[in-house]
Amino acid sequence: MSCGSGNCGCGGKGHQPEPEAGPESPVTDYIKSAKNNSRGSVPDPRNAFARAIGWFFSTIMADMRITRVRIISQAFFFILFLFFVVITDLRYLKGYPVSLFLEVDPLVGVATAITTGTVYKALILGLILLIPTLLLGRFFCNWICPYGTLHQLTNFLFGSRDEQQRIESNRFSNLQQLKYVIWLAMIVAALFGSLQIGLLDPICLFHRSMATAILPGINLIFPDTFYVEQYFHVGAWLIGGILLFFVGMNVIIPRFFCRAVCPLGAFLGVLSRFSVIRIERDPNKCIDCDACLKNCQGASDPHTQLRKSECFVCFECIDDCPVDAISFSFMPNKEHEVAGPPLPGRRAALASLLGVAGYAVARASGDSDANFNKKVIRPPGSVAEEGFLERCIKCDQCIRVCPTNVLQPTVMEAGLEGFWTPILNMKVGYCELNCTLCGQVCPTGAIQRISIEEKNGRGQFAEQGPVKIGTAFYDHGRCLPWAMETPCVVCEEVCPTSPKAIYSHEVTIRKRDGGSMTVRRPYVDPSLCIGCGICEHECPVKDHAAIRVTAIGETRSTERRLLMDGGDPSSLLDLVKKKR
Amino acid sequence: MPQSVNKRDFYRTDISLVEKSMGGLIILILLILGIGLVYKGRSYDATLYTGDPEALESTRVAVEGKAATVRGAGDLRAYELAGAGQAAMTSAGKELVTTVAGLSPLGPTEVYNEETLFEKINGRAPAYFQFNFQELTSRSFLVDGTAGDFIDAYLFRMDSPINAFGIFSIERSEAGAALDFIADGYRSGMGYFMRQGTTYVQVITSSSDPAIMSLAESFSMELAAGLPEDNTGLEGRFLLPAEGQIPGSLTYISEDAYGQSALSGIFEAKYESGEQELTLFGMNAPTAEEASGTWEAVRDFYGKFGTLEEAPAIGDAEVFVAESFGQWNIILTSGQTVAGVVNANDRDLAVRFLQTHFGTAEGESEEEYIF
Amino acid sequence: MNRRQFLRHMALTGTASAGAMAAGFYLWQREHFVPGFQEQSGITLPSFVAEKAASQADLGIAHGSDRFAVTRAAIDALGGIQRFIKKGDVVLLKPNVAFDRPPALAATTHPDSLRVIAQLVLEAGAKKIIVADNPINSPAGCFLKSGLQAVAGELDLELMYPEQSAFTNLELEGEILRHWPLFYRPFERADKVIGIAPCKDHNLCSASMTMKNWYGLLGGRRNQFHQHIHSIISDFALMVKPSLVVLDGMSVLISNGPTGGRLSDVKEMGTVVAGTDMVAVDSYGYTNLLERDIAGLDYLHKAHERGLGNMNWQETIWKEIRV
Repeated sequence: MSCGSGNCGCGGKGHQPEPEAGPESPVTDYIKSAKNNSRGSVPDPRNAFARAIGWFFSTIMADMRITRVRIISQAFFFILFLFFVVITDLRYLKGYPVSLFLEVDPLVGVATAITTGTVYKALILGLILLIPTLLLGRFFCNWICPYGTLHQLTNFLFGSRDEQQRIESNRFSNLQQLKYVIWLAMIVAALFGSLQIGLLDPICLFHRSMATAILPGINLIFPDTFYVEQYFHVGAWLIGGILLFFVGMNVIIPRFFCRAVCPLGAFLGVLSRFSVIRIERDPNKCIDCDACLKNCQGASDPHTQLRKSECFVCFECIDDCPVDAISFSFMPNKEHEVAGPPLPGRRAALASLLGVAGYAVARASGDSDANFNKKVIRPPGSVAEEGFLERCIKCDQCIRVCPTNVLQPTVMEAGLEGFWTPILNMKVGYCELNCTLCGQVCPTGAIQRISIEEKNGRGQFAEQGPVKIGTAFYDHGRCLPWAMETPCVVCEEVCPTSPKAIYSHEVTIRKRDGGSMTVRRPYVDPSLCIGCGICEHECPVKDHAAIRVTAIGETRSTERRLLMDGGDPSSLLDLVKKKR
Repeated sequence: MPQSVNKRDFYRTDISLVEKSMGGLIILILLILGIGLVYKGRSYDATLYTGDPEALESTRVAVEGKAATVRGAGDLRAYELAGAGQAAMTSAGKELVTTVAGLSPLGPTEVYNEETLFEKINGRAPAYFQFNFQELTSRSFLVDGTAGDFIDAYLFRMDSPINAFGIFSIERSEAGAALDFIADGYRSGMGYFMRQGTTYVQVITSSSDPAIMSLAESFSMELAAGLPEDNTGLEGRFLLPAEGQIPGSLTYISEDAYGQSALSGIFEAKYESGEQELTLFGMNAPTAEEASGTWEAVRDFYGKFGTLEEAPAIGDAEVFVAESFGQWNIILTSGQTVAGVVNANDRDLAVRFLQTHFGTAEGESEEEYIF
Repeated sequence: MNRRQFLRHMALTGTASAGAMAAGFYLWQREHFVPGFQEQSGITLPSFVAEKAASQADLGIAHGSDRFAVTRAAIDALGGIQRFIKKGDVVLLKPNVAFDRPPALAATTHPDSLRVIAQLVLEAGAKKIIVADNPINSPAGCFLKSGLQAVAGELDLELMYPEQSAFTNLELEGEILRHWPLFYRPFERADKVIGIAPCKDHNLCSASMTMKNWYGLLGGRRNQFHQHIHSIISDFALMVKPSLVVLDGMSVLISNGPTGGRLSDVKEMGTVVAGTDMVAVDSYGYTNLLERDIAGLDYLHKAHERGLGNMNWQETIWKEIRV
């Protein structure tokens, strides 16, 4: 517990506070008290804990330079992220805010605010990050972002370069403009109601990759690690491939994604122009050795005029400067900085144009409108399709948490705008009646956080009726009792609604050999069917079920309802009864 | 700090207290955050979700293997193959064009399926659904050199020739004049209506002007020629001779013709015979046995609701004559054919009529009887 | 850095932070909702019914051979167009242009029918006439082929097409019809509303006359209406309270409706019925023009039972004229 240096912050007994420690006295006091606590303790778990804290502060902190604190922070958030990813599962979920990283992601909050005019529930947490960014700059990128940490780690482990090569690879490159183009195009598209940030937002991207490709992949190799039964996801190879591509790019350009692609980084970079504290080089001390570039994460030119928008506030340059010419200063000389992002007006105009055109051509395909796909069966509680495109960030948290694996990322089913948004694929799973997990984890309200009562139209919600996500239809040509002289009606047995939406009539049919037999032929009552798809999933005609759910009849859209008075089950039931 | 685990040599060794304190503060914040998250994670409302993986598992167990109890998986494959055999006969969206001079397309070719037919003909659609409507291809053509006169073509594809004939005949107008270039077709005041193969074609003009009607006629001929001929299931229709047939009287009755369940899938036409009108029907049964079975059932029916009389000879067919409510019914069967005159006022006229058309013996029917 | 720069920078950063905070809290949506079940609000159409003197007829029936004269006579029997239209009124005429059929096939409102009524309305001093319908087929094609576009051009009537922005949510306490996209833009300026309907056979609801004509005011997925077609049509009588309806029975589509297609489907009946009670007008049309038994027309019974009109047209004040 001793420290060898007079400069350490622990302070021995009788040690006088040093003059510069004045403003930090609460901290030193805390450390002292922690130490005192640990001394006067008897075996007590709480005291052991306090002792551990005391040890941590007095020993580790003694060596603590800010870059090491940063590594602790990165490790903490990286592990926290992985922890959340792993526990996004019904078995472990409990009350953990597993979508926290998405919620504090200010790009998610701001972009959904642009598209919807609202900030959904916990997205308000984005403000927590926005304010320090306005003061300190892009610290998020190198202190919190787990995807950034992944890249830094990859670069650290596999980016074999000698010192000079490292310096050269960390010089600012015009390629870094690209991320501003991407960000601006996405924001402009958002103004029209098309939310595309999720394609490249690092948190969304990382969540999506983990949920659809990495965890199922690991589970394939080491069975029973994450799933009770192996999960499959449509197009996982593409999502996983993109992750590997960005990770691999570190070998060519260090932190390629963070520097050149990341729209969140671009957004924080734009905000950095307001920051009041930044890295400052003292030109009088500087010997122009460029050593500060050796470990520069953002390629922000600390050796000359600092590009505020590119600096990740990693503090490596301070550590690497042989002459202490670099410091972290409060409002230093404005002459020594490039405040705004490196995005010339013409590029910005091009980006805006890309956003407008991208929105227009994607929306004009009609996939979310007149030509909507029957396969786009959205999770229960989803807002109407137009709103869905305004809200869904393709983070695929819903897909991760879905207990039956029914939720799948789209490829082109929902159009270009809906790429990687969740749809139900009844071949893989079915929508569990007493489950609203997808809505619980959705950070943006694309799937609203409805309760099980609301989903199933029970209790005080009986009048409004259940949330329907589609309607099941029979394919008589493939149905065993309808076409093949074979009794079945598994669909009726598994139908979970009460009363059952699937019913059957007994009929006597003439068989091929001339004899007769009695089979039950099933029917769907569209007023009761909620589109859960368990019938399709359990249909023995596995490859292309004899009963299939399509999106029509979904309650989220009045346009896409099937029955005229679908909103009023009581009168509808009467009508249906009369019809029979 | 040489004693620390550190591969990297730092130039900077002087770490200020401010820096250390800030570091401590940050670590403290992280610690608090971690504790807070654990605390939040442990306190939660279990009713938000089932919270019980067993509940999901129980559903799975309840349904799994259910299908397998029906049949072995091996049997199933055969059925699936059978199901896949009935591939949908959807035609690709072809452009509807014409080579008739003087017509130029007005707008694109529109295609409607069962789901969208309402968008084109709205409340008329159910009439088409009764006959297993498949697809409508429609396009407008402008008549060149006129002030907005147009010709609209509608090609309603049904699932079978018989259904195409069905919708054709229920819409048929008595006033329509038969066409010489197609068996099922007529000309109405402002258009042409035809049945070719599985398609019911309407060519509708904006005016009854002869010049436009003649354009429409050439267009109709072109359309009819472009459609494949297919009369499957319509054999019965050709039992009814064209000679003397009252235009527009030919209809198809799918079931319960003349109130008799035995008579289904028959064709009926009315004929002018002297001053009187005769109703002749005809059908083709799949086998001779079924034909005579049907004939017997009809005879029994008339025996119950009328009186059976001595029958005259009509070729080599089996014939009965029945009087019912003051009208005569003469029904015959020969081979697979069942035909007859119903509700005739004049017995002799009806018999003569049948003798004219069915009097000649057919060799093939004998074979059937020998067999 | 000088003091001025410093202050400016601090102010900028402070404003940005405060702005972000304020905007965040202002836009904060704390509660979820259940999509599709939110409270809906909408517009209920006002009544366009004109004042009526006790002696004035509810039903004017005119027979003859000239559509212009007969239509005028039918409206004159009610007390003339002045009873309904005041000087300076903006008048909405709602024809039935559901299909892109030529006029002679009687599937749409005849252009002469629109012409004569528009002329009458203009003679009464109306400031502006709007013609609007939401056809089944493409609006441009329907207005063109039915010949109504030509009439509109000739008399300078404003044609309103059912553009997406022209719809507003309807609010109605109907039997089935509650909330539905309503083609509302034509009503924004209208002081008076006149429905001009052809008399047609209809495959689903037996007949399409003045009540069914209002179908063309609705948008959305109208094919759902066919699930409860009679309830819906009776709801139309609640939805619109027109100043006047005119049933054109000069040529009646008696079979293969509502599209027709053959001249032989059309029967010349030489009658025009004008009236203020749609239910009475339709019951006259059904019994005397389509010559069918009124017992079979559910929607008239429904509307009658709900007090939306009188289906026993003889009980109303009616006048019959032969031109």
